[in-house]
Parts: sequence; C-alpha cells; structure tokens
Amino acid sequence: MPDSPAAGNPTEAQVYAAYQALLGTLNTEAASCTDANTVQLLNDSAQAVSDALTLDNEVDLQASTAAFTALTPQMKKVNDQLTKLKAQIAAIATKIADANKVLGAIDDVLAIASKF
Amino acid sequence: MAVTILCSGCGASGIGKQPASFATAASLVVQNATDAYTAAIDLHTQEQVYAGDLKVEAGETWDYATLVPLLTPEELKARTQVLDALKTYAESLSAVTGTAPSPALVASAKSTGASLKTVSSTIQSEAGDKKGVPVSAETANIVSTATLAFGEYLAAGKVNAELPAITAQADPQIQALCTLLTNDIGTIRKQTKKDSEDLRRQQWTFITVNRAKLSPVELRTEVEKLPAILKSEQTSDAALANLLTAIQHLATAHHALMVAAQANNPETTKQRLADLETAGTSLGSFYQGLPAK
Repeated sequence: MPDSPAAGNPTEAQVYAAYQALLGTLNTEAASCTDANTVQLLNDSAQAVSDALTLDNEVDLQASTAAFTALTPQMKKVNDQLTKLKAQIAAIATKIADANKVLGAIDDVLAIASKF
Repeated sequence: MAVTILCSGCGASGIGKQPASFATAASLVVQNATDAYTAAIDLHTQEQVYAGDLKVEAGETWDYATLVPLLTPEELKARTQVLDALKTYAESLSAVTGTAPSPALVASAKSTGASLKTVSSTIQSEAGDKKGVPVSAETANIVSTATLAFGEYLAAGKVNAELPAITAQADPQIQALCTLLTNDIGTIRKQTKKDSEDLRRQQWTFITVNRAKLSPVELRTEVEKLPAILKSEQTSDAALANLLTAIQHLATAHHALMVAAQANNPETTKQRLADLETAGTSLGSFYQGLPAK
C-alpha cells in the first residue's frame, strides 16, 4: 500500500480509513433499524463499501505473495547449511564407532592367537 | 571425580538450550499464523455465503460459483512454504545445539568401554591371569564417559565454529519474513474484523426481513447467532493482536540469538526468549478454542 501521494492528495491509508468509517456508520444504522425495507437498503449500501475494502485487502495480500515466494529458497539455503552441520556432528559418532571396530578386531586376533 | 570434570566441560555450544526455546516459539508462531490464514479464508467464504443468502431472499440471483477466496491455494502455499522453512530452521538449530548428546554418539561411547573390557579379558585369559592390566566394569564406564565427553566436545566445536555464520546468514531472512508476516497478519486482522461485522449486519438484516415468517423458536435460534458472532469476532481480534506481538518477539529473539552466537554469550537472550515463549504459549490453544461455526 503506497503511502506517499502527491501533496494535497490523501494517502491510500486515509482513503481506506474513510471507507472504513463509512462502513462503521452504515453498520451501526442497520443494527438499530427495525424496518425491513430500510435495513435492506442499509445492508446493500454497506455491502458495496465492504466489497471495496475487501478488494483493497486482497490486493495487499496478493502483492505480498511474491515476497513470500522469494524468501523460501533463501531460507532453504540456510537450512541446507544446518543439514551439513548435522551430518558433520553425526560423522563424529561414526568415527568413534570405527575406533570400536578396531578394538573388536584386536580382540578377535587375540582370541585366535591364544589358540596356538 | 574425573568423570564429573569431563562431563561438565563438554557439550555446551555457547547458546545452550536457548535454540530449543526459539524452536518452540517459532513453531507456535508458524502454527498460529497458518491457522490465522485458514480461519480468515473460511470466515470470508462464510461472509460471502451470508451475502448470497440475502440476495436470494430479496429475489435476486446469486452466482455461487463466483465465490472469491481471500487467498487462493497458490497464495496460501507461498506463505505456508516459507513458514515451514522457518520451522525447519528453528528445529535444526535446536537439534545441532541441543545439550543432549546424539543417540549414535552415546551408543558409540558405550561400545568403546565395552570393547576395551573385552580386549582386556582376552589378554587376561591368554596370559593366564599373570600379565596385563585388568579392565573393571567401573573403568570401562569411565572410558565410555570420557569417550562421550570427547565426542560432545568435538561436536560443540563444530557447532561453535559454524553457528555464527549460519545465524548471521539467516537473520536478514528472518527479519524480512517477520516484517512480511506483520503486514500480512495486519491485513488479515482488518479483513477478519470487517467480515465479522458484515456477518452481524447480514444476520440482523435476515432477522428483520424475515421476522414475521419465523416461528418463535426459529427466531430465537437466529437471534442467538448475533452474540456468538460478536464473541468470535472479539476472540479472533485479540488472538491476531497477540500473534502480531509474537511475530515481533520472534524477530527480536532471533536477532538476539545471532548476537549471542557471535559473542558466545547466552545470558543476553534469556529474557527475550522467556517473553517470546509466554506470548507463543498464550496463543497455543486459541484457534482450537474458537466457537464452532
């Protein structure tokens, strides 16, 4: 939502706020009205203002979508680095396990040698 | 005593358990943000259906095939993908800095002591109990503990070496994501409030127009929907306000984590993380507690 209009022109946020205030007034009037025809008229008017505000919000959400999409691969790059770090830590455990294999092999040799 | 000294000097990555707290808080923000999008989409659909009801009531046509979702599936996917990436990041950070040694390392360390004891027994047997140094169960355990400590020391060294760069690379992305989420959830909050107010006006219009045609019981049922919509609106608004606060805390907490990783000082982030967890936890069960539609 751009917020720096030419001098004298209202900002988009000010326009939104004006429509929001109008919607609030129409809603309040409708809520205190018990005449079927009048309440229907107020509801139709309020719905038109509400739809305009929805459109504005939808445009904002759509505009953010590209930014969200652009962020995902960058977050994945960071996660790839963390995955590599996890693998390096796992490798430490593997190396210690390898040392145990050597001890096991020594034990096997000693056991066989003792039979001679 | 030797075992105690070895263990107390190992395993710390410099940040200790704080990434686990960050992961918990990040997970809550991710879940609640995802729920907020879904709830807003559902509410907007309901608002359009109510508007359609009134059109039909007034004798107009309503093309229900033209219902417009607040976010298309693709737009929602763009958000959930990056939120999932954030969750993965927080969980991975927690995993590599966790104070508990990995199961693989524990197994290898235990095996070292046992292997040494086996070799010793073999030597004893071959030498006829006259030569060599016997390895008792206690000594084997000490060897296992020392091996575990050594393994943890090596792992902590890796983490300490890599973490400053990883958190520094992630921080601009986390800050950008939190700014985007703040704007997005701010829009969702405006839309949710507006949709809820629309629902109440549409419901009142329905009651007023049809009052004469409704039985007393039907009228009561319809009237009772008004305070329910209002309550749901107030609860949603409060939760979205809390979510915005939690997102801001998440950004602050990650930045503090990055600074702590650079300086290797865990104390600086503790209070912010505690605030973050409190904010995240208060949101935890909110969406499940929303009144059923």
